[in-house]
Amino acid sequence: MNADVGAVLPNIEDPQAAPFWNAARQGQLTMQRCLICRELRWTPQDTCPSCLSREYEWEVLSGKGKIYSHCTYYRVLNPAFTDVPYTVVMVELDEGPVIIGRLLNGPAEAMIDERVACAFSAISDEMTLVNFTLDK
Amino acid sequence: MGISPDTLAIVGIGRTAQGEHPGRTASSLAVEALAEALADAGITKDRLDGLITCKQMAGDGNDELVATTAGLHPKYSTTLDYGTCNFSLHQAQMVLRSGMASTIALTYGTNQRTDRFPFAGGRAPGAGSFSTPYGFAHVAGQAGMALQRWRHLYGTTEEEFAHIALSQREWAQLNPIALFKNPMTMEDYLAQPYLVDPLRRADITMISDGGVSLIVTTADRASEFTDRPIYLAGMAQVGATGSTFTQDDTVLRGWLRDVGDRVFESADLDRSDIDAVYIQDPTAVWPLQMLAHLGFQTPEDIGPWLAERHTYPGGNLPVNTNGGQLSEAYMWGWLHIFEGVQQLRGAADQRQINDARAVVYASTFAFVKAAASILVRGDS
Repeated sequence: MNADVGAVLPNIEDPQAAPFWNAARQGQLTMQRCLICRELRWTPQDTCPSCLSREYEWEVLSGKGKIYSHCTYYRVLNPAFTDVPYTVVMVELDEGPVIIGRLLNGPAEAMIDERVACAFSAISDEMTLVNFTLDK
Repeated sequence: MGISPDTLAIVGIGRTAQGEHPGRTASSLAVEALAEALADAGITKDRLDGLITCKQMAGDGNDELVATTAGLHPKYSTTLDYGTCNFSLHQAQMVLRSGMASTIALTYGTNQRTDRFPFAGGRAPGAGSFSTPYGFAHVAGQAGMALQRWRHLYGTTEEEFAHIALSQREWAQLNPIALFKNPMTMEDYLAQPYLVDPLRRADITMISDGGVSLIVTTADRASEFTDRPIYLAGMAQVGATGSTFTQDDTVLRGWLRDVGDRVFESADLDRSDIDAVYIQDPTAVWPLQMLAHLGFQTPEDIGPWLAERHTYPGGNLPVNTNGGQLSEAYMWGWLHIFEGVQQLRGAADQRQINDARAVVYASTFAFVKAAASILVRGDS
């Protein structure tokens, strides 16, 4: 990650996103669960895509799952990310949803179906990213 | 087969030079292509009563701007914010059937190369704000994820996948307007470093400026314009299927199978009736997935099948005979339609497929919308 990553960071004041980033800062992975149909959803939004209800709660998840897919950036495609090579993984969480983060172990360790766990990476006082490491 | 008096007929095609057009706007390039298409159709702009424009990614090119630039006063006009021409063709067919217009220009122009449009993006809105901060930027990342998963499930090898880029480069060498014509061997391909592993530079679209335009009318009017009209014999779409890149079906895009089935059904044609396949290709992963999902091969068989060179010049199922976005130019799929019309007219010069009667063109918008069209010549 680089100094100018600020140019691409999300708006953590966004009412839908703020609870997620606040929990990440405290080392917890959270997602919204619909209070009506009980569907767990990702990414955050105020409406349940399953039953259209706007009643939900934030739920703390295990932070564990397996690699669904991965790719490794060798070329700088966005000036905010010059620290190539870096590996991005899609992780299928034990609770179901698929979430994107970096695999901190690096390219050689990236294998589909490998078990991983959340690794919380503080990049500033306000912002903690949810990355992953192998869970062996 | 289903050609009725109100079936859409393509009666004019136009394009600008491709590459770099410093100082030009998207609308200016769209209108330059429009002038070429009008000349091809043998008409002046006064004959147009409809206009359907397509914006470039940066946003320029709506119908008000294009109509103003070209001095048009259509009875009907609209703008689509997703490209590929398929959606525009289908919109035009619906307008023709409604009777709101009878002679419609479709346009697309872009100056995204010289304007240095940031395809890898800055701050991402919505769902992207949960992936961009990790450096998951540019379509190469999404396509890389999709290919890695595809290979895991279906076993396609690196060498088999290479044939998408290699066959399109071979076609481009027969295309005078193609921007990437240097010969490329398997060794050359494999020697390229990864851009985003598992994708190399050759697997990703170029960025270029240019414009494309089509003139369309109904089948019963087509003979007033040309003796070689090309008909829209079938069309199918799928609407937005989800907005986040976090679902199995979004990555593998299995929902394209339904579009494939419906487009052949709507044209009352089989896969075996198709003489060439056109697939919009921001990356080589799209042709890989879509050749399978359109029903030409199974996901398991497509790798070995590609290695048998069916998609190359001289092969029995030519794919992207213009060179596609990987080797010809980045016109968001519009030049694929242009090339399909040329092939069906018998006007594709060195690239001409023997007795081309029917072609299929499939495209997607991001990961959530898809469209397919079947074009045929009149006597098919």
